[in-house]
Amino acid sequence: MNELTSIGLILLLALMAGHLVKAFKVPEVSGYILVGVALGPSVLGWLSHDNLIALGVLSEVALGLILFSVGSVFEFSLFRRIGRQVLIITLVESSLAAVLVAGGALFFGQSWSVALLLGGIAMATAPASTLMVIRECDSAGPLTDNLLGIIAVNNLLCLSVFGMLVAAIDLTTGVEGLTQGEMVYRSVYWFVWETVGSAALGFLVGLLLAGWSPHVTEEGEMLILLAGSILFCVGVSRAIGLSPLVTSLAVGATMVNMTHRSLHLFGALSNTDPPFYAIFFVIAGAELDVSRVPAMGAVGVVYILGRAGGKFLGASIAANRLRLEPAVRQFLGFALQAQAGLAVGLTLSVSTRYPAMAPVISTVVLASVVVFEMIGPASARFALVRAGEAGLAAKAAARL
Amino acid sequence: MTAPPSRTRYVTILTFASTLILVGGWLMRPRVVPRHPAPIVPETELEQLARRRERRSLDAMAQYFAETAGEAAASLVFFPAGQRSGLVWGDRQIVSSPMAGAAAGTSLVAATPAGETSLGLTVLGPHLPIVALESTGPLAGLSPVRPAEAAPDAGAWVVAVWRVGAEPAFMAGTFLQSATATCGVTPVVEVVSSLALTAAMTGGGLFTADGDLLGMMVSCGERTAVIDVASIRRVLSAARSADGRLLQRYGLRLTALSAAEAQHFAEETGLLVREVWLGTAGSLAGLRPGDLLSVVVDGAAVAGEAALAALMAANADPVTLSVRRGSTRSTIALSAAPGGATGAASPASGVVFEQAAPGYGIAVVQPDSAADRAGVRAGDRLVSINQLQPRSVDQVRRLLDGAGPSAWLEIQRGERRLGVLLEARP
Repeated sequence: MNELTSIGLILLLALMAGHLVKAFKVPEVSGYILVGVALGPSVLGWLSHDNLIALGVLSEVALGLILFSVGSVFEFSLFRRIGRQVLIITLVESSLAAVLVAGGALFFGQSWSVALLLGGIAMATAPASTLMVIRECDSAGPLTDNLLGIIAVNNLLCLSVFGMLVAAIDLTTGVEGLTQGEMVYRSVYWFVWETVGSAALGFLVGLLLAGWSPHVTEEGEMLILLAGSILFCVGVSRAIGLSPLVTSLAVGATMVNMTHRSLHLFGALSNTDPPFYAIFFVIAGAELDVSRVPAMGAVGVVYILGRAGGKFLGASIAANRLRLEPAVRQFLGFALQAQAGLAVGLTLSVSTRYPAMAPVISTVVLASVVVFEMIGPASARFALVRAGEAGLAAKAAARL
Repeated sequence: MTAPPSRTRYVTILTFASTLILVGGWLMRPRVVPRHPAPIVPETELEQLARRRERRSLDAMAQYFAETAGEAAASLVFFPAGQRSGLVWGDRQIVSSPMAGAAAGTSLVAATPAGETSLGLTVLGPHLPIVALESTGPLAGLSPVRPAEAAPDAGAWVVAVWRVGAEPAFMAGTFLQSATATCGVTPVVEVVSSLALTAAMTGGGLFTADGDLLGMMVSCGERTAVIDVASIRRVLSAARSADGRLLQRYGLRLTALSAAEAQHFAEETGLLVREVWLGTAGSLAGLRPGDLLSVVVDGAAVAGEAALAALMAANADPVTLSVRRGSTRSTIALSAAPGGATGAASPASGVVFEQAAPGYGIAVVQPDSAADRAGVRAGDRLVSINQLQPRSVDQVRRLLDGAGPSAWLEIQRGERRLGVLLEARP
């Protein structure tokens, strides 16, 4: 199938599936993912691996747009209000998930490095599907605010921890042809470059966007500016080894603090980006390899239980300690379950860096991502609806 | 940007810092370590995959040759009596390797895909490396071989195809070269390949990978060789010549006398027996090289071309010959070949004795000597000199020395007796 046909098919089938699953009170995102799974190489095979690679560009643009939106949570006044608690909750839920998963993996006979890497990857919560559920539910309120903050901070934290883990493993095992000094330098350099460097690039692009936007009045032109900035930002990040994720997040954070037109801009974006997101989630679904699920083994089960339990307990403990609203205490854990692109990306990076560990980590993470990507959006929707925040965004000022 | 002046300062500082971070960070990149692209698939699995891929191409190759052999087998028949194959040469003609117990004019049963069919032997001679058979009607279910237009390049794939019963068998190898050689007494061009040829393959064909015929497997004495298509054609056309027919019919090679021979034998008209194949009609009738023949037709002796024509006449069986050997003259009846009937009754003891080789073995022929010029070769056995059989080597020497300017030597070479005129250099 050529690319245009597959894009058309993806969009039409995604729309259909989105409508269909709504009847079962399941988020549209899950419908898109299911369509992807069905069309993908592991089931029907209508979308080949070549198609997926070709469509990967659209997927990256979509992820850039999503993180750009998520970045708006760093709006100064909002973050001053909830920043401290968001940081604490993220730290607790991520750490607990990491510790449970790593401990379980060790218990089931995995090496220290494999256990630690699995723990690090388990920290990630998918920003895309979570944000899509928030939008779909049109939700607003303390749970929504905290959730947005947490997924933004969580991804930064996860990238940082993973960077540190990789640096530590490299330092203990050594890389051929490098002295100890060079090793330390490399490890520290890449860690700092991916975080601080990405933030710096994001800030500069955000500044450009903010400086230019007052001179752009038409909504169409606004979209051109926005799309141009995001594409440029993602492209440059890839070219110079930065993290497109952090960069996009930083663009969004800079924008929202620099100009009052940001709300207008985000509004314009949310009117036009749904096709991108549909493609993004169908591709994400098509890349899921359902056949891996039965092969995940005991470590896979430990990973799923440890991560789900860690996130749930951690969020609950932290929210109780901070005496947050009852809705947050009860349901935050449910909303943090989704896991997708970031975990897959980190797994690929493990595969290229440490081929010896690749089989275990790939099998476990890629299999459990299938599970979390299926239940995550539904679980998040359940949390938002039960917390009573669904549909409140229309009444409050639209934040996204 | 709509920001208060104090914020502008922060923004300026941040912008400056960000630019510095990006530029500085880019310049401080650690050197790239060449890293072998590590496959996500484990090494062992990749090896297995590669092995499986190679295995698949080998299987595909075997499959290809099996199909080529299957197509080529449509041009092959099997002779249960001789346990060998035959190639369909024309609409009705089949060529094969000579087999024991077959006589000219007799019929052989051949197994074809359409069932059994009876074929008459048309070309068969003690001197020939091949036999030809003909059917009375078209050969059902068979198609003639398609000869290759040129020899393949060295190293090209070839496949030998023969039949074992009704089933085609094949063996693939590579072509090496074409080489001139002698098969029995016949000069041929051999197709040399990497294949290990066995007697079971005789009568089968060697084909290119496209199914074009390169040659036929035949027995050349003890060994099995492939003789090329041109050689087969040459042998077939030579077998149709007068000489060839005479050899097939009586196992005799007859010629007119040369000047030197006429002087030696003191006769000019007779047909000189130059070659007699052992076990053939001529040999059984008692003819020997050096005999001078004329044919008795209607009570009158005829010689020369007329004698040859009389010998080859279809209704002449037996033919009455007037034979002069030395000074004696006799009349014998010669009937056409019972052909290769060399069946030796085994004695009651169950032991077959090796026949004593007649005459005296010739170990060396000096180059440019009288014997060399006459065509005597090392390995030949000298049977008689001027029709006299020597009883000792001394006698041989005496006979040769006392022979005068010319001597007629009777020589045994393999399965035939030859006569040569030894002339002292004038």
